[in-house]
Amino acid sequence: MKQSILILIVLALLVLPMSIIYGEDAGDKETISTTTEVLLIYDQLAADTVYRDNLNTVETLLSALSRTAERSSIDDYRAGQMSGYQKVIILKNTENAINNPAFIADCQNYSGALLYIGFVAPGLIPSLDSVPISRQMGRTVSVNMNGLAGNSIWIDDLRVVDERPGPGETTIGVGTSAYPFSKTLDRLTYVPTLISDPGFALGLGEILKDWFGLATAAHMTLLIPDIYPFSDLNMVIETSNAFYASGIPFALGVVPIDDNMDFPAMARFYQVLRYVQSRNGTIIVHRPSPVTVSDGNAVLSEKMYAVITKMVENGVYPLGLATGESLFFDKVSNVSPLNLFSSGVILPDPGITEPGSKETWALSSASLGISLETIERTSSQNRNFGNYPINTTIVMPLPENEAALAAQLGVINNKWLSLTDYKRLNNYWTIGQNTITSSASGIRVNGLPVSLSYDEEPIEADYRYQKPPEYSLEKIFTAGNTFLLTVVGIIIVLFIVIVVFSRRVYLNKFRKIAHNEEKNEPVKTSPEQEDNTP
Amino acid sequence: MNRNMDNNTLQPEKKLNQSILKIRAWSFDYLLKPSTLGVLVLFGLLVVVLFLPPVIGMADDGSTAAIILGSNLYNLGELDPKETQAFFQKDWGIMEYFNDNGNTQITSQTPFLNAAKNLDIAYTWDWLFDIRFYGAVIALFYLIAMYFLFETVTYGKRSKWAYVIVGLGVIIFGDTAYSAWINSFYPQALSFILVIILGSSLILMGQEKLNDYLLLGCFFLSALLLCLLNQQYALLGLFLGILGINLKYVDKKKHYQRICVICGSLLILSSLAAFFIMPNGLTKLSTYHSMTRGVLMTANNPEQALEEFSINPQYAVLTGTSYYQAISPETMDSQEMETAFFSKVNPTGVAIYYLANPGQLYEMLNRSVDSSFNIRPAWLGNYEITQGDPPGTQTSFFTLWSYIKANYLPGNFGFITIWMGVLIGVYVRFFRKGIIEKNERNTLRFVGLMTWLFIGLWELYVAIITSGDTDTLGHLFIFSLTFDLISFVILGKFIHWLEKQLRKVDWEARKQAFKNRNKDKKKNQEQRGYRL
Repeated sequence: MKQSILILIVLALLVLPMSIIYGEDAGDKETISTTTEVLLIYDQLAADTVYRDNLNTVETLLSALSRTAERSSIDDYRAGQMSGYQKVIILKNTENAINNPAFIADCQNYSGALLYIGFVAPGLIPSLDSVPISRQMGRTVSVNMNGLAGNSIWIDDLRVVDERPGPGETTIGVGTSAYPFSKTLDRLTYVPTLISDPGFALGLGEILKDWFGLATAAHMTLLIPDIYPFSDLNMVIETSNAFYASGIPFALGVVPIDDNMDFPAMARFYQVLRYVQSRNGTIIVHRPSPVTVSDGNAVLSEKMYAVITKMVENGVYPLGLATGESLFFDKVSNVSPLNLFSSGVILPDPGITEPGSKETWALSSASLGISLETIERTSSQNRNFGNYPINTTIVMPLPENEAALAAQLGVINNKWLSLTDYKRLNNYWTIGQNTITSSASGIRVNGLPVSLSYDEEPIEADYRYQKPPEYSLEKIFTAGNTFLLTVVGIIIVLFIVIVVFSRRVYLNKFRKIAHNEEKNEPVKTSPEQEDNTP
Repeated sequence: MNRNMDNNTLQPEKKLNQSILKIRAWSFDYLLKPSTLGVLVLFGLLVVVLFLPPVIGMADDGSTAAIILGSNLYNLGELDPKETQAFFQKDWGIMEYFNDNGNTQITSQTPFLNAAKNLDIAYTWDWLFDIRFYGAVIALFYLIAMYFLFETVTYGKRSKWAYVIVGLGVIIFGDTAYSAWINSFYPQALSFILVIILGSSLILMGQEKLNDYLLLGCFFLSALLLCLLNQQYALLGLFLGILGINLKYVDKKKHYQRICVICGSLLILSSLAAFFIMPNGLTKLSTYHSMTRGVLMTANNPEQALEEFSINPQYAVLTGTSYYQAISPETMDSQEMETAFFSKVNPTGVAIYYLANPGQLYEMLNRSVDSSFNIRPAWLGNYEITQGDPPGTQTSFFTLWSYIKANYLPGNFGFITIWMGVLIGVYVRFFRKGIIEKNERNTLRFVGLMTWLFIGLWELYVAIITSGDTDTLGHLFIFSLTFDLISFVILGKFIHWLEKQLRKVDWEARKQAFKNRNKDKKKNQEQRGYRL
């Protein structure tokens, strides 16, 4: 009988962790596709030229379109690597010759979809050589798409396809003439010029979206990033009030801080975040700065679990992730639980792209972060701003004062932006004990709908910051203390007893002598005493 | 002929014998003296530790970049940013062309660096700077300083006990935790030497062992170099200058008194100038830590403490965090953080805050004393990356004293208070005697030790107000050093005293007394009986 119970327990122990591991695996699979969809090949990083951010731009766009990719430089390219992919992007940032014969051979034989960006290498792709190219030096250009004319920028070396653009196509406007942004020949798509500029990035975004065959309607959201517990919280409240009054849905990017999470200052911060939620704001979590969590991945993971659990406990429901694209180059297991979010905003990454080949993962849905200035400088044909071809999130820093708030609000209102409420998009995640979903019908935590109305909770006024230090073996020591105290008490009692008795003993010594003396001379004294007695 | 032969053959032998005897006498007089022998042993240790592979040094944390740029040196960037603190870097670059960097800094380290650089150029003719040349320059002065120190404790005597004391000195100050700093650009190595020379030259002057003018020169030169080492040391120059002027009471010679007054005033002036001219060298890192790892960490209510600095109380969430822990570098460098936080924190404000909150100061003193007993910061590695050790490995070769100090000495301020009590109790009578007898020279032994104590306590306080308990500026090193110096001198004194007491004792008489103790008892009993 005992044996069978033991066997049962052992079996249960064996099965239990496996089911947990299996559960985690299943969770990963939901959000991350296992094989990468596209191979991104670049020739050089082209640092110190206007093309230095191009690789970053393409990677950011791929992440914003939720595509996974493998990145490789031409020098690292292995023969046959291309044949494993249906789609290949070649980014050529320089006019330098290609020294990898395997790459040239594979390019000429490649039969899948190919997107070629940048300088043409003669002979590399035969059909490219026939495309008529007009090379113009020193031009002011703007990228126009979806009826939106982007900001005019100066380009030293402009290459365009020398053709008339088709109707509805994204174009590059040079003076009065317009050229197509890209040229499609059978399975080849060619983008002659790409530089670091939001207009070009969005234009390429549209090309990529069509290239991947993504038909979903694009949406635009608004994000106020980098909110710390010590940011100007009054301004956060004022901004959310102003947005609420204007009917603008917005999201607040909160930087996770896992220190001192039970301090009143933190409770006050959560209170403000709850207020923001009640003003139609959505909470989004920033990726912890990779510089600050250099201690290791376990630390990042623990930190994020703790922060998110604490947030949910306090009625703050983060629905998405705000991150730079470099996150997606880290292994999924290293960035957990950040990969469990279904949606995110891809912000420009300030870091320099690390060279080498790597694979990425992607979120289920994402949007490209663009600055408010980009919107401000873009002119629309209609009174209504319309929309960009791909999902975008306007990143608007927290206004420093009321004047700045009014100015920023003015920009948004004057443009007639059609902004989407972030929480109405379908977001979901399961982190630790909590599962959160959000949709047009509201936010649900563990399946139950939650109210976002704000109710002020009192904050502990007499919080004890200095915790009494915890000692190891404290119990043993206190037990030892009481034991010693009793022993000492007994000894003290004994001591007093001894003192008292020894005094008597000591005195008796003299008494004895006195007694002896009395014995010696009783004759003299006793009669007198007797005499004196009445 | 025979005589001539004899002369020719025997004379050289005789001469040889004589010269051997002379050499023997000389080496007995000079080389085998306890202090010289100690220095020779230290020299051997340094050669093994610093100059022969595996070369040991301190990894660079980037804080000295401005100083080495001032000597046209630069980091070759052989290590990743994450590795620089974990591994010691031996080779540095010498700039071949004009140094147009605006971020240079000239301190009293610069002449030593330049000397080392010129040595290197003369020796190797390449544009690589081997840090061991700088180590060699510093090591030379280190050995001189150690000779001074050993002279103070042995009084130039040649007893068994003197050798024991010097042996202890070698164990304490030859510890690799100290000597590893010599192979680095940190100011610690130089301050180590200067602090030792400062105090021991005063004590030696009191003992009249060496030439007064030489010692006076050593005192003022090392004081000047110390206060030009860094802006935070500059204020020490005021104290040392006043002390220097007061040295004129030691001797009645006119020249001597003039030198004291002139050099002392110059020292005060130059330290004031240095205080206002030199960049304060305080980085955001140390400013941040002075609040989060100091004021906020020990405050009963961090929010109130922040309000005293008129900072947004929400910053309380950063309590106890380190610079690299909670906030991304972009935010740290942002204008918002600058105006809301960094611009409102300065050492003076923090110093005043601690004086108003002595409880917190005491707590911080406890923490700082504890961390100062680790002479090497735990995050700086000692080995080169080519040695293949894991990042941040610190050597354990000849680190007995630093091990004992870090693990067994009670690291709290209460211990330091008792220790100061012992020090003052032992030495104040020399001072009193000197004052009463109007022989100021006798007070110098006490004054020298007090100078060390003052420098140590000052640095302890400066460390707390500038960088909390993290000591990214290396002040606690000086406190730790002065603690060792004073303890060493007291220990030397104690060993001498013990020797004297033991010599005084008449062992035979004691034996007799012990043997006769029973007879005495009987006698007493008889006496008692008689009395009774």
